[in-house]
Amino acid sequence: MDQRAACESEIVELSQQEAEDAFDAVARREMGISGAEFLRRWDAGAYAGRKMDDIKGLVATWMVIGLVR
Amino acid sequence: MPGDTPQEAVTAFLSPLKEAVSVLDGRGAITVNRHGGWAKGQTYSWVLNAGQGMKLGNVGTFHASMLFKVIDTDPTTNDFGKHLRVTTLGYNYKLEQTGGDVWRMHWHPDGVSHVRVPHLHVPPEYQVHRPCERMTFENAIRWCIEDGAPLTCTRSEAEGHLLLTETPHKLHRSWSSPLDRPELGRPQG
Repeated sequence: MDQRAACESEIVELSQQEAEDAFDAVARREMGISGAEFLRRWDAGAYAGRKMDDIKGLVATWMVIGLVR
Repeated sequence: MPGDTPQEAVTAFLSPLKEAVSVLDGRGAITVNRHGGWAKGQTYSWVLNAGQGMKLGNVGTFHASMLFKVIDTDPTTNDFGKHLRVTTLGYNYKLEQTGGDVWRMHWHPDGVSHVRVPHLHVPPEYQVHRPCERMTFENAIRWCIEDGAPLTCTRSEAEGHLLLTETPHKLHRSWSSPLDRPELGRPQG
């Protein structure tokens, strides 16, 4: 099992800026919008009443909202 | 995963995840933002490699994230007399390849979805929600292994390791099947 030492597994606490950058990257990759735009739409209720899985990337982006809020 | 302080509870929650991902060959960082300090009731996310996922050779990229928070323990459950534990609020695991995802494991009960039970999506009909038991991070790693992910050890060692890292979660979690939580309802489509 010592071989596992070759794997770089760790817990990393991000700074606020790093967390915002990570959130923004996920929103852009998954939904094609910035993290700030996602939060604006979320707060405006743009996704209310919709099935999360019907909106491409919404589940992945929403799941990391705890990085920034 | 109980603890006497929020920090202790979160460490007890995240450490097995870090250990689990160590069976996969590559960089596997469980990245989090504690917003200045771990606190009871605050919602947090962890995401694998700051959202970039983990490259698994030619198999694809493994993405994983969870929402979680620190809550009081229930004295009637097996929490070793500790006061706090972490509860999971949702998860998203998927194996991504060029041209489409190989599979997606979802549970997002508190979002805007009508589908609140754990479910799977597999191609070609990604829109279909396939209800399932609550899937652990270790289960997602096992699926990556079945898909041929490169390992840092033998398959047998990996399975033994995943059983060990999964045990604390299974011991302390409050539910494992949608049947344990009728309030989640049934998938709507």
